[in-house]
Amino acid sequence: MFINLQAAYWMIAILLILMIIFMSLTLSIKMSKIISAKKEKDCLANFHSYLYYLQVELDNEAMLRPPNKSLRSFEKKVLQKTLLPWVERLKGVHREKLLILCEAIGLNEYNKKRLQSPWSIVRLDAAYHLGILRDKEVTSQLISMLHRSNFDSSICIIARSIAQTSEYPNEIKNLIQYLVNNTKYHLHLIADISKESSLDLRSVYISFLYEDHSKLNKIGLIGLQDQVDQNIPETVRSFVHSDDKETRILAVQLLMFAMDLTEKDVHYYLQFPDWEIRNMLADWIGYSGLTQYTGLLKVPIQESNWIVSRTSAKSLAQLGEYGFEILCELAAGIHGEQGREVAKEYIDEKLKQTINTFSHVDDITEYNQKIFIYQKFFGKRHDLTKAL
Amino acid sequence: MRDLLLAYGIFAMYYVVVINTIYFGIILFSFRKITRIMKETFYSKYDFLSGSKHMPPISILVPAFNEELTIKENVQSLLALHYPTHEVIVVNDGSGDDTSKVLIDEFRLSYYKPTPIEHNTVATAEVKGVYYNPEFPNLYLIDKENGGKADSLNAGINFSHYSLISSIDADSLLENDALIRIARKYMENPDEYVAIGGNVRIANGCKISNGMVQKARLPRKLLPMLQTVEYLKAFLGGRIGWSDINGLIIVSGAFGVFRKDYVVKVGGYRGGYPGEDMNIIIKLHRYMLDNKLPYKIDFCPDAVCWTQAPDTFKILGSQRKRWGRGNLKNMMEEGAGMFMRPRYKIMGWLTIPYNIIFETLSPYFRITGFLSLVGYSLVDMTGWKIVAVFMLINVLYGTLLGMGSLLIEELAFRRFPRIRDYFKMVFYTILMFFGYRQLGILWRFLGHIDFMRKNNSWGTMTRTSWNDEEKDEAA
Repeated sequence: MFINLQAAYWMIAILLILMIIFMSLTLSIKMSKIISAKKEKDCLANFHSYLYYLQVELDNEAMLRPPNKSLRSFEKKVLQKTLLPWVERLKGVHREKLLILCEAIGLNEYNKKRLQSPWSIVRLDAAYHLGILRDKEVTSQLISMLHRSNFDSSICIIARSIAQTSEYPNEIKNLIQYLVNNTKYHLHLIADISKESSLDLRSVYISFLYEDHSKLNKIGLIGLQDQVDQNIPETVRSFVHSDDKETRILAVQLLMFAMDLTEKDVHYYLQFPDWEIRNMLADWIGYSGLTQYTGLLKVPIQESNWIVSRTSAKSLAQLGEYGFEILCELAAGIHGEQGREVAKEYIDEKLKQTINTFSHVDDITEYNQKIFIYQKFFGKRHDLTKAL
Repeated sequence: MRDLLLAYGIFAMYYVVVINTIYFGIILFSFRKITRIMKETFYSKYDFLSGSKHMPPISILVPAFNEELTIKENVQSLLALHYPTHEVIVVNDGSGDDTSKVLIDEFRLSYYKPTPIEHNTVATAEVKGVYYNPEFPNLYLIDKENGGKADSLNAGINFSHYSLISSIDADSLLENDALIRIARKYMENPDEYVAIGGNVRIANGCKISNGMVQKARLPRKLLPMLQTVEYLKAFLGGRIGWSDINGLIIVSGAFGVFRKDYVVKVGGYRGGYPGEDMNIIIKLHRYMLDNKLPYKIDFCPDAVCWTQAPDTFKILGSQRKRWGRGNLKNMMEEGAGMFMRPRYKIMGWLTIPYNIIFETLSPYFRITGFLSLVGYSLVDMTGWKIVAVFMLINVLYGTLLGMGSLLIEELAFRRFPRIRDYFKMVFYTILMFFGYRQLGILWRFLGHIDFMRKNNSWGTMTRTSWNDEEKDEAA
């Protein structure tokens, strides 16, 4: 057995040195954080009345004034830590006022300098803050930074900042294409990044529908779902027959949100081969209160897919008297055995729910109507009445 | 005889030095990855993502067996998670206590007869009913016959509506942004991520109210404190590094997110033995590598789940014996077939060999090594210097690894900012080598004996109410 005590002593020495290094590093980080937190607290105390002034004046028309004295870097950093979360949370005029103030305080300049730092973590921090500050002058620098970055989480941070600062839809279009071609990001994450932009991106999303690239097609379909203008390009319908399931689902989802469906379409999609689409349609009819399609739910509630059947029953329970009547028909077995159990469950549940939410005359009327329909099919059921 | 005892004792010491050296290498991988983690932790806009409709919906599965003391707070914390679309599916695994009743009363759940299930079918014990209240539309309670934790998870998979599932222990509390953090990681590479584990921390000693950890504090009792430093080392020092080389062998059953389609493809969770959390990960590795599919199994250290650590020797011993049994079963069932086989890449060359040689077999080497050193000392005390030097190396090496993990904690997470907390953790890291580690080895060995004797009971597991913890702290 190899035993060399001299080597063992060396090993002990190395281990002790490494332990001292680890401990010193940890303690110095701890100390610097504690000192910095204390300095920040003191600094914030000095700005207490100024921050109070900002909160009060935010709702007034007048512009917000920067602090009277010129600020040191540390003070800028502390103010940035307080003001930027406000910028993120507020919208419209309030945000604009704060952005002008931040520029006047010098936060944009402060971060632009840090964008040139030799340390990648400092550059990333600056990029993140310049994004929140919506500094339009740095977009090109951020784009080159994005192209130089390793493909890790910093890509996501820089891409958000580009979307926040960009003035041109074409830049966002290039950004999306870059992310699609060079990362493995979830397409919804890319769409979410693009929506950081305050620009109208409808034309960008529509252009993606005509690309010969399925991922871009999907981003187009996702992006258009939030657009105010609901005129949906005709090409969307062609995606309903795509070979890719996700594309089919996104296309129908878009048509649904745009309310661009006829009764014939709804009937068609409720019998679509993908259960996710049938389920989505059944759910949509219920929560949107589309009573004109109530009768169409008779089919999906009877199907063998458990999720679609339950969703259809839930929607029928949400669709007033006619929906309730269909549930009763199904529960009474008029249309056969399929869907009978689930219909019964939702009838009981609906009656209990109706009685629990009694608050005025309308509720009592609704309850009585439901009981009337119920008794039409099942007669008087004392156990249920008693339970209610 | 004397030389033989010394030689074997020294061999066992070298064995421990090699384990520590490999672990040190893994910690270096953790340090390599830490900058990336820091970027994710500090700059990802979790507040905004939690309101984004672009986040993928997740089904949270909570297997519960005799959890009446903690289940209410657990479910409350899960319902309060900051996440756009999620459902909580509690699976009562034939509990003998009032687990179901506590939930039915608290959330006014109503009984529904279970309807036949078509999708995602994995065989399970009989489901007696489903409980639901439309006022809590994303909460379901499944009541089923007892079949074990794996069986409960499979029942939850069958019932779940979404394509991502998350398994969570009923004695654990998730931080309210834990799910959003893990989901954001998933969204960076949804095609390849098949499982992502969360970070498990010890909740004993923390201030808890409304099912949330309000203030992180170190435990006051000895055993939970030792487990705190042990978990820090395992999760921050170990799992970050293993995940960096895609060699993670376990996603803790306490909190992890999985692609449902792949979990179903590998046959769901394996029942009958503990260690189902390690088993499912090994099966996923194997399936993906057998089918030559690109994949990653990762660890998300900033997605935190707080769990109750056993605070008595009896319960801790029972837990560690169970882990020992589970590990042995997994290595025999899955590991042996992957050992040193090139097609299994890092798993075949490093993770599985490391686990078999340095985890599964470690009780045998360590116990026999220790006994030979004791025997040697009884025969001849002249070699005490050699023994003492090697023991010192092992203690120092182990402490160094613990301190490395504490440095990672300080760099990226800073849950315990006080300086005295740091010294307390260092002290317990050293203390661990004087009794606790040896006890752990012994428990693992006893777990192996249980396995041989086919003793497959879950063992003692007594829960403490989170409210009791709170009262203890107040006292």
